[in-house]
Amino acid sequence: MMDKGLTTYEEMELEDARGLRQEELIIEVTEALARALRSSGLTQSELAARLGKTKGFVSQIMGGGNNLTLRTLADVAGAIGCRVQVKLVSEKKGSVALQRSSSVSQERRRKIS
Amino acid sequence: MIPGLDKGKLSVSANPIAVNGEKLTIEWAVDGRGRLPALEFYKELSLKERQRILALFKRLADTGDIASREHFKSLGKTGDNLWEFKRSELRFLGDYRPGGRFIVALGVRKKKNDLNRSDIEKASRILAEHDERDRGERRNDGQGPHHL
Repeated sequence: MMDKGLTTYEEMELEDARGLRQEELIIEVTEALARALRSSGLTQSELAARLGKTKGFVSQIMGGGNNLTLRTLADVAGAIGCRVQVKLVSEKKGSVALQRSSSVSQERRRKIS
Repeated sequence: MIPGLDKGKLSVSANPIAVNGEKLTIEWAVDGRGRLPALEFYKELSLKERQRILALFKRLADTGDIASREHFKSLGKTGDNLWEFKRSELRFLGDYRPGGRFIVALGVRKKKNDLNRSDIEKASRILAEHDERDRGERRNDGQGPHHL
């Protein structure tokens, strides 16, 4: 098969990986909010009322239109009945923490056997 | 410069893979003339707009789902059962295909929420042409059809 070069995504990673990661984080946050809102059974209008904001404000947040501040994120999560947890993961597959955990497990298995 | 990926009319010589993910591969549709209309539209967007759309594609490719109906939704029977990616004014229409693939047929800029019927018909036509070309290539390769 003829090599057609990089995928569109790989091309963008070369062009501006930083901007791409920013957009991916926005999608990750809006996805987390959408899932939490669905689980809560609240509508966007009800969420807006709880926040004392308009439905348009909530819609903008859910659409990733605003650059959401951490304070607003905490408020929105709280209004849904959630807390925000932050986790930084290594870009390389298998974080350091996981690798250490795996080493410990292997050590334990050796001791047991 | 990568062959076939510069701005202007993009032909089948361009890489038709948008994103390879853990769950799905997102592909640009190739129409009956061997062109990639959605990729052509994408290439005309600003850097920020391209990143916004790719982030959505990547999410679907990696997780197999996008929960936010603000960003991804089925257009239902009136929309020829196509799926729509939406980010600010940008819309990309496409559909799932066997073999863990999602084919992006058309990109448009819309200031209003509703899509035109002509956009839906155009996307459906491009998808049908893509499928026909796909079947032809598989026959030539001696491969059977994709299976889920």
